[in-house]
Amino acid sequence: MTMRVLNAVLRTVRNSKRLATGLVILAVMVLVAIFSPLIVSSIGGDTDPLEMAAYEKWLVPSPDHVLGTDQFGRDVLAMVVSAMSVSLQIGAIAGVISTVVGVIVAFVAGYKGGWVDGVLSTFTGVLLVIPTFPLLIALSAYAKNVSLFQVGVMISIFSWPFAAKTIRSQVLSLRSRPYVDLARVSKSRDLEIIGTELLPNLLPFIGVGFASSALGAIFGLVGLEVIGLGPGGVIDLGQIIFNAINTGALTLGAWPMFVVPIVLLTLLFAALNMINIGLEEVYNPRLRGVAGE
Amino acid sequence: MRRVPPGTRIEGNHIVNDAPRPQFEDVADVVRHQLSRRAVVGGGAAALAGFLAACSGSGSYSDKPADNNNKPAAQKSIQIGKANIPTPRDQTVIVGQVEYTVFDSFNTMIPNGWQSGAGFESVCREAMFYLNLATGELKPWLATGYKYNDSHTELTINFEPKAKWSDGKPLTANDFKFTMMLLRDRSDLFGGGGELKEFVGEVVVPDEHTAVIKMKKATPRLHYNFVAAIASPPFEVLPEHVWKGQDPTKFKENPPTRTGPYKLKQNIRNQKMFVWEKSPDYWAKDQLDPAPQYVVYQSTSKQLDSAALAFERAEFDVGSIDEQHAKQLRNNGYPSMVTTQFHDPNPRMLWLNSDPARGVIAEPKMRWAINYCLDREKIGKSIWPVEVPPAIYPWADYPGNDKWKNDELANKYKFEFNPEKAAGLLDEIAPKNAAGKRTYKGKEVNLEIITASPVDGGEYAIANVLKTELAKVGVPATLRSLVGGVHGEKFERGEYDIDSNWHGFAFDPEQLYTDWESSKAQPIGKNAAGKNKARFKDPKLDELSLKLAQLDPTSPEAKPLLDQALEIYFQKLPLLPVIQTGYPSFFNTAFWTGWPTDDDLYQVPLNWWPHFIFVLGKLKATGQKGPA
Amino acid sequence: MTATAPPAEAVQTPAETAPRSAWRSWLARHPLAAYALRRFGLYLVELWGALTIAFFFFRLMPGDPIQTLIQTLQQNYVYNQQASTEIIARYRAEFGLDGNIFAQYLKYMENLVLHGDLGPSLISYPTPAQDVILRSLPWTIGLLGVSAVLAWIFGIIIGAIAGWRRGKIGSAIATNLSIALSHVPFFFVALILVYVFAYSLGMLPARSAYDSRISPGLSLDFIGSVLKYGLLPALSIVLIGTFGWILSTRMLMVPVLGEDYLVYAEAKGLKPWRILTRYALRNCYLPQVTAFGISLGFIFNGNVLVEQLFNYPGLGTTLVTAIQQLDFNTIIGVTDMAIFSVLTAVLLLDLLLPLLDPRVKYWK
Repeated sequence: MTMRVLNAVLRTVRNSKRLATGLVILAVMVLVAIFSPLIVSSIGGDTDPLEMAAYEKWLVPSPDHVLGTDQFGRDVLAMVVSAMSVSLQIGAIAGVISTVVGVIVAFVAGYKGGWVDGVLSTFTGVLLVIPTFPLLIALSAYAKNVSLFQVGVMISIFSWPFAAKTIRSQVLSLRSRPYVDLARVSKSRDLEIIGTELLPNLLPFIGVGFASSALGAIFGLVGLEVIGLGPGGVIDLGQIIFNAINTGALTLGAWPMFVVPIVLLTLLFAALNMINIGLEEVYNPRLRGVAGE
Repeated sequence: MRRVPPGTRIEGNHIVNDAPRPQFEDVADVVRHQLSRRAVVGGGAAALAGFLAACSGSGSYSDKPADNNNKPAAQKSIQIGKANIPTPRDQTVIVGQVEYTVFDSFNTMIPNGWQSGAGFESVCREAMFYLNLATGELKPWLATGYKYNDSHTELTINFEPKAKWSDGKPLTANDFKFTMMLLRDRSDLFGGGGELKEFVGEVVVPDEHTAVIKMKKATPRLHYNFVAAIASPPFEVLPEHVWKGQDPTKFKENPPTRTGPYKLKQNIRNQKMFVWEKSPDYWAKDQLDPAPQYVVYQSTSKQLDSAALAFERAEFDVGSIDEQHAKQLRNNGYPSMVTTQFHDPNPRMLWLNSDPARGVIAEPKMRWAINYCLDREKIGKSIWPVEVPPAIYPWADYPGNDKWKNDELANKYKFEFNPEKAAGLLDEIAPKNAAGKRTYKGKEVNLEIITASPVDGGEYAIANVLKTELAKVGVPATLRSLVGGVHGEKFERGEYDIDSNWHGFAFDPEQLYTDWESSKAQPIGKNAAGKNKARFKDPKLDELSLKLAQLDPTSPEAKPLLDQALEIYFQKLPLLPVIQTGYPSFFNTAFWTGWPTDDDLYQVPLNWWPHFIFVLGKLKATGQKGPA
Repeated sequence: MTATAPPAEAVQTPAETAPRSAWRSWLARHPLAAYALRRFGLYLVELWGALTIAFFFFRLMPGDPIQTLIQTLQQNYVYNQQASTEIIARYRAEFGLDGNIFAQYLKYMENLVLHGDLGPSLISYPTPAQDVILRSLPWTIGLLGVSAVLAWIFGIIIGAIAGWRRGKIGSAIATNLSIALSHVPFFFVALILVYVFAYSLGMLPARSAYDSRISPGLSLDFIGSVLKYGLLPALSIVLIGTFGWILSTRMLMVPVLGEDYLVYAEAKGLKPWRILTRYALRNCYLPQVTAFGISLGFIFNGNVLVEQLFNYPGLGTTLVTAIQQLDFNTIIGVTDMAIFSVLTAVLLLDLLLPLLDPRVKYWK
């Protein structure tokens, strides 16, 4: 099983330049995120560069502060590095939760069919049409002592229906394949069929679900923050952008506070999207022949 | 000032303000920022093609020699933009303000029944008396004077015989009586019930220009309701002939009939704009005849960049810029800006919960330990957007408030930043346990700090500095920025240890002490309805406050009582003043001159206070024409 | 309750005169009608479900709006006295916040369904919430509708060409650019556009919706002003939206290109342009019509931010203001409006598509 998965991953990456590029970008970002505490402390030396009034405020970029300091005298580079780690973690948490919930719902609905499918699909459909943004804004008002994890959970509440919808349609198409029927005749337990026959074939689509939920989560949070309604206490890239807008940093000339987080987020979105599309191109039989440009 | 400080933006219920004082500018710093601004144009364009290009451009950005060349920034002429207004620019004063939501209603007695900060209270409505906090002068306006009888049970008010409503009808004591009766009896109206219901018995009108209030209970403070001191007074006279027979919970009074020099010309919802036009037959023209034909109040852009540019291009005369950008303009030789400082009536304060149910925070020693952890100098210098003095007394440092001070007491209970003293006090009340954690009554100490300020707001930053210092002396704390509604509920229910907030008074300290009476303290979890939210209890203070309530605070009998109350404050610290709240106002002189300045602060410079009409009265046109 | 009532009526009217089986056989003979009925039933269930979830979600938000408002006013020195309990009780009742949540729900649904009444707004009390919403709706429909449709058209055209000219440099650039940028938030672009065109170059206005010297009306001046002020916000939606549609169109297009009938058409000597428009494109624009309906909801989300950034007087700005003041009636109203439009758009598309595309047979 593990080997199968590993092989599949390797084959997939080899088959798509796009997927490989996306994964490399993401991997670099994840590495930076993992080492962010080290990076931050090396920037600060003895002082904590993220502490309020650690330095003078609004310092221009210099060798000491490569991206300058913000309105409270925090080192912008250190903030960006740790904020990126926060953004990635939120994306990962929300991605995992929505994918897991989405997969479970999709499997139950798609595999069982009948009224179970009807109820679950209708419910998913209902959640899909409620505009998430007002709900997210409202939720962030609920958020009292929000930890990073809670923010992730909060956001995944609204992103699992997307994952569920994508995966369900794949389950439906797989369910009618002959080998599943064969398995159904020979083995009796649903779980076993799901585990051995359906799941491995669905992995790429689960990957797609994960990537798009993670993307949606980060996107949603940044959106909230840019208009100043984000949950307090969590400083991610969106929060820095909000700071920049809110203090008019750009006309002050403190452009790194604005440009750097936007560049990083754009890169992250691009990487996730490349992974998404790469996976789909490799695994969607209809597109398989056209993956290479 | 909570309300719309110039150059601030309201985010929900939060205000975000940025504004260092001019005297502490670092010129070189600003010039460097100016230079970098040029890089923005390039950076922005590059951003479209590829963001990375903009990043690599940072090398030249930090080059220092450039600022020497640019230092003697020549007086540059300003590039005047086209203001988005429906009136001739050279006859109009344009005020930048918060986000407006209410446009068709001017009923101040129902929730959101009117738009504050949109000119109504500044240019259209007038107060009976104006107290100028900048100078301490009390100016009678719609009324000519007030007088209590000796036992403080009767208050006689004389009205200005010339005063007229904008529709030509005279303003009389009957209008006053009508409004007073309405508000006294209708507790379901904003401004209704409350003190009026408690104190006002009958209003007698012996002649058109005289009203005598017969009180149910003696008080020397009823007239506070009629004076515009901090922003608008609690009580405003309504025109009886307009309001009589109307349902005060439904009536919109659009357009409003008031006595002021301006009338509403137009409100443009989609532009978030109120256009006020000079009233041709204003009653007090001989004393107040403002030069601008129109005053436009408009919501400023939500993006500070955009707002600041609008000011720079003289699309606004007042507001629409923050200190950081203003500083940049000043140092770049921007020729037509006046910056005027004014301290908010409310110093920034930490509210400390006094209810023993909250644990260690109710201990006076704990409060003193917190006080020793508070680095007021640092906060005033580098945390608050403007450089401000520390606050020791729980009130604003206006000249008129000096009489409440007692330096002997302040020296006896000296406020200083001294973590060692803090640690010493903490060791007495909350010694560390085997695990090295401070405990109080067997429980580990952990303080809950809340604030309504957003994460990057000033009050949050103050609390954050405190939190860091507390951690150093072994007191862990959580700090949360809560959205208005959630914060309000926790605050009212006493579910906090420290609230980073503000407080103050308009007239005398008894206004503060009366709130600290034990009878007003609700148990934790019960809504305090705005009273004694810190749950302070002290029998001695209760006594003092009761006595002070009956005394003219400036009388010699009151002085020792005030000092005793002040000493209780110093001993127990129900509130911890941090800094004076400095907010600068910004005026553009391209079209109008005569604004209040730091050298000639003839009036409170805030554009949403009723006093602003006297600023408008001093303006002179420069003759500058707007672009076609 | 509302979910089942109309179809039940529709079923009963003929059933009164004829036996039940006759009705069934009629349905069997008219599959399209049966499909339409079933689809409409589902629509009502979804609508009811979504409205209910939205209601409870917002009403369970902590914080008492009336208390909060009073507090805000006090903090702002707008109102200097303590609010009496009478005031709070009065307005709680007025805003439908008294009683238990289920009673509130029933009352709310009754007012909404029977009277189309959302209750008074708080941000502009006592104007009803529906009036507040209707006032800002035209701006949003104008901005969002026009730019979303433009993005869709551009996206399909460019996407089709990109798919058609697969392998060419231009196509590769368009595709890769789309992959990189299709998920960038609208407002990033909006911010950059503002900085470049409004701040640095000063060419276009960055805020508001028209020049206030011109009074709104059907004059050329006014329309020109609206277009000028709407250009930047619309551009940001169009730009990012187009990238998204390019990608999905290309995805639909590529497999079609291998089909035999296209090879045949080519062999017949038809001009490539004709093949593209008449044969290839036809196969992918219908699925894109459905996708467009579904995407309206997402566009609405992004639009909230764009309006906010440009101070555009539309629904998004109203929503954010309402949330800041805990104006439940307006918040729920705007959400309901978005739910209703998306569901209705999808319903109409589902009902119309079988008529447009003979291959679509949902009712089977």
